[in-house]
Amino acid sequence: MKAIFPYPVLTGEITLVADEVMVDNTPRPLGLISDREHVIALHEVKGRWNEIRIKVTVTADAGELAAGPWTAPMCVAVVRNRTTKIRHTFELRPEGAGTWRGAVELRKGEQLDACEIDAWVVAEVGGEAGRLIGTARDRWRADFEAASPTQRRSIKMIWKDFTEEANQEFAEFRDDPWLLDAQADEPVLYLNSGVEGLRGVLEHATTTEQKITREVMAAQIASESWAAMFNAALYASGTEDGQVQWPGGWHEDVLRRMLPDLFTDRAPGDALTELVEKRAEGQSGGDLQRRVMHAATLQSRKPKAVASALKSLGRMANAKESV
Amino acid sequence: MPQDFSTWLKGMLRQRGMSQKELAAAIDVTPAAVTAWVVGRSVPRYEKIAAIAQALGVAAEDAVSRRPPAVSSSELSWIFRKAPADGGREGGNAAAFAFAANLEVLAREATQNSLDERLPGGGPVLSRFVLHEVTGQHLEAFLEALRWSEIEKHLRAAADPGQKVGRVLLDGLQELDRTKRLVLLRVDDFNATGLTGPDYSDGRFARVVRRTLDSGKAGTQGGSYGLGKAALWAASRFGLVLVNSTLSESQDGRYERRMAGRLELPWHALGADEFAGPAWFGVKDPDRADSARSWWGDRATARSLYLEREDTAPGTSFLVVGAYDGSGDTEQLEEMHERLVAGVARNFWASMVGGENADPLLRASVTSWRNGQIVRAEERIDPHRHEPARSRAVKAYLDGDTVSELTAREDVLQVTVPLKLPRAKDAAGAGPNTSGTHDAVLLITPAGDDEPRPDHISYMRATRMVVKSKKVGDLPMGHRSFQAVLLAGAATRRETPDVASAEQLLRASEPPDHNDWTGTEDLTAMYVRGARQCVVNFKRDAEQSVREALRADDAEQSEEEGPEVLRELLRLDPPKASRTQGFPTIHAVEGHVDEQSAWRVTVTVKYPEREEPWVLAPVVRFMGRDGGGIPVRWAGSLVPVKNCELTEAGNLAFRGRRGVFSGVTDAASHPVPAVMSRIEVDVPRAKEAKA
Repeated sequence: MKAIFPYPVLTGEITLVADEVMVDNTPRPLGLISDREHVIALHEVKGRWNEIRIKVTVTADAGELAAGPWTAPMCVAVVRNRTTKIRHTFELRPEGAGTWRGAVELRKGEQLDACEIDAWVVAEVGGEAGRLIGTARDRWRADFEAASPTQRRSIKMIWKDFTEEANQEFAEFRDDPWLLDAQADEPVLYLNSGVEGLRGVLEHATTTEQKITREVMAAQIASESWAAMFNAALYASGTEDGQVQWPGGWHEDVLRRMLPDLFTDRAPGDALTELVEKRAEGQSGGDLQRRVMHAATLQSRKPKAVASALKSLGRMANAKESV
Repeated sequence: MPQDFSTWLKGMLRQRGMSQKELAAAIDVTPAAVTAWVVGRSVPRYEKIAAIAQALGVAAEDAVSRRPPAVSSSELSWIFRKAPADGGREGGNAAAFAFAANLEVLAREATQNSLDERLPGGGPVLSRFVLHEVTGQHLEAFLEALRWSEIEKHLRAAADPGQKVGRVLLDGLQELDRTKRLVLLRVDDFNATGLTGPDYSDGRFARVVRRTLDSGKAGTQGGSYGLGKAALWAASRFGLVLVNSTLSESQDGRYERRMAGRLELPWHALGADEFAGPAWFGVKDPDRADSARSWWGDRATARSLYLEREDTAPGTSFLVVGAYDGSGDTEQLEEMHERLVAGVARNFWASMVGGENADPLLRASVTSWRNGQIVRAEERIDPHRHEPARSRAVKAYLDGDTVSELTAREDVLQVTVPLKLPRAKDAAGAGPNTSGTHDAVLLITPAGDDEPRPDHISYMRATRMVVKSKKVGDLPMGHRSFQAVLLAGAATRRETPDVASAEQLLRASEPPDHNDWTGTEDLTAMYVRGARQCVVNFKRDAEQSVREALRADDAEQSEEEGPEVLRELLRLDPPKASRTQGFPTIHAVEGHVDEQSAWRVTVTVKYPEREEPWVLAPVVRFMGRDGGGIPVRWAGSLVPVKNCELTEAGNLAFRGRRGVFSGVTDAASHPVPAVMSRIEVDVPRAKEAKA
């Protein structure tokens, strides 16, 4: 879905790069910045900072900028946080044709989870000042949760001994090998380290039998988690004026991942609208749960895990016979 | 140190073929007086010296300074070495076979020689490559000055297509006959020592002009005018190189325009006369049979041979006659120019980097001329343009601006890499016998996206010539692109005793091409066992240091992130949109705002083909800054353009794979004037009661 403008905009690429991260005026290792994935990992400063400054450079096609009907172009970096709904813009200073440099400032108390950094080039077009004529090809993500700068992030997993006195809240689930908590502002998968051998199999499987168990169990844990997360996300969605409201945050991520598998011939927006309406109408949801289970199965790659486990079992049986 | 007058006079009389009696008569003194001067019993008064000079046909200044006279071009000739009596035949200069005959190798070897010959305490060596393409009368004039007529028959005789060297010669001659075009490449250096020393025996001049396969490594400079000089001859189609040197210390009382020429041919015969191959261009030496000495030239001769130097700073000019690129892919002047620039930049960018308080070791340029007209003006090679990341690294080191942790993308990380120094064999004379450790300097800096060959490590020592540049293997996944530079020995600019030992060790570990640090015969000869391992470990440690510097400290992370097997299955990042969607999507939107301030749009929709039509209710929204958007109404009904039709409810039913419709917005429903808006169109499913 591309937006169109009532005036000419730049067609050339605008690139935004993060050059340096300063936490309370102390430069941090460059390894926290991933140019490839456009991510800045800020996990290590969790809680122990007041202000983070990220130096950025924006480049646009200087030739196109000079040749077009735009005058007085300038560039701002835009910081948005989906969780806290904070948005700030920072004017960058021009540095040669088509290049701008500057810094964005993130303040503690305004940032949670992750924020997005974009760059906008604005100019006067046809006598109208301050018009947006281009945005960065890739937005950056400054992730306060990520320990390494990568877009690939999985849900949080925590080993806990459910049987321990200290973990009172798990007392009623003491024998469950795992549990997904989708109530928090982010989903957390608790793995019960009190279940003997669970950790060993999941993290340090050595024998063939252990590996088969690990793969099947992982697929099972994952598919249950996806189903639970989907249901939580669906309940977080609603409609307003007949228009569906995406829930944002991890809920939206889960929906966007799974809806195309629930309804292959519908745009995710259409699919969500229908589901929300059906829920409001008080339908039983039998059809829905069947679809959710299917989508969760695909997300957890269960078919492959089961098939290869069965194949391995067959091979082991053959090997025993031939001895 | 000038010779005494008697020696000078004796030499001049012999050279001029004049007897003592004839001289006595010419200047009106008794023969006994001349004899007394010749045997050194007395020295003539000044007026007589002037007269003697005149009689001998030399400048009075030459006689006063007791130096050899300048030679006019008419006294020059080519002298070929006779074939040895044992009937041995040489197929060419063995040293020349050690080098690939291409311009990059030439640029590398010639510049390396210039750097090795840098005048201590002087400014940077200036290395200037000048290409001259000559045709027509310019060619004729040059060939005449060169006495081409004297050597052409030798060249043709030696052009035996059955021999490697002969084939090159034959090709060169045919090329010259066919194109009537010759490329001359002059390689100048300034602020260098120049070709000092006597004509024969030892010295820089003799090493370049007289000897082959003399690596000259025993000298303090090490490797100066060693095997590398053969690359000059290898770059000539005819094996023909002329030299003109301005000396840093006088030879026979002279400094300027010491000139000579040398032709490298294989064994050949002219009629009954057999020739060993090599020939020298100069003044016939009266003291030696069949030898040509270097001569002190005049400006006119130097100019006619394209050898005139542009200023008086000491150094040497080599003229490669019939310069070519043996790889065969560079024929045109402009291409040769580029090739030389690239060759110097690739190997010497580090030598050309200077700091705030440290001059570069080298400046280099390339110029191209065609028949006296400039084709490419002097192009000063800027290391920061050719190797931005690496040059930044070296500059930061020179300026003491390196860091111990990378925080910005211009930063240069400095790490120490130890080189264990093996013990030298006692008899090898390997200088300071300190075994111990040398701390080499490893620099790592992030590389830009446009870096052509990222993730390389470049080794260098002494003059910061790139010994080798190799890609670092086994890098951590998803690491940042970088360039690394390893400075060892004198390149560290330290003055501790281990520096000299490291230089010696690494020099010994370089093969003749100076393109690696590895096991060599020199290394085995000079050091005790294990020296090769020290060098190999050094390189390995350097690469390992690069890897460690790039590896994020991710040791404790896995604990917190849960089992790896689950991490992959529970990824929450937004999925990559697949190329083909199972539902209708907007392929393209075109539109403009009309005079009524309404948006007029034409929309292409893409969808999978199916039996039942896709019934869609297109919506148009005015977009806000943060996504979302306010729907506006269409004015009237939508207009089907292709593969679609209006339904009774006013929606569109699409068939095929791609459909087009157009529409106009209702300006009355606009939340802001259309010219202030940015719109998006979407195609949700229409909710129509099924008929």
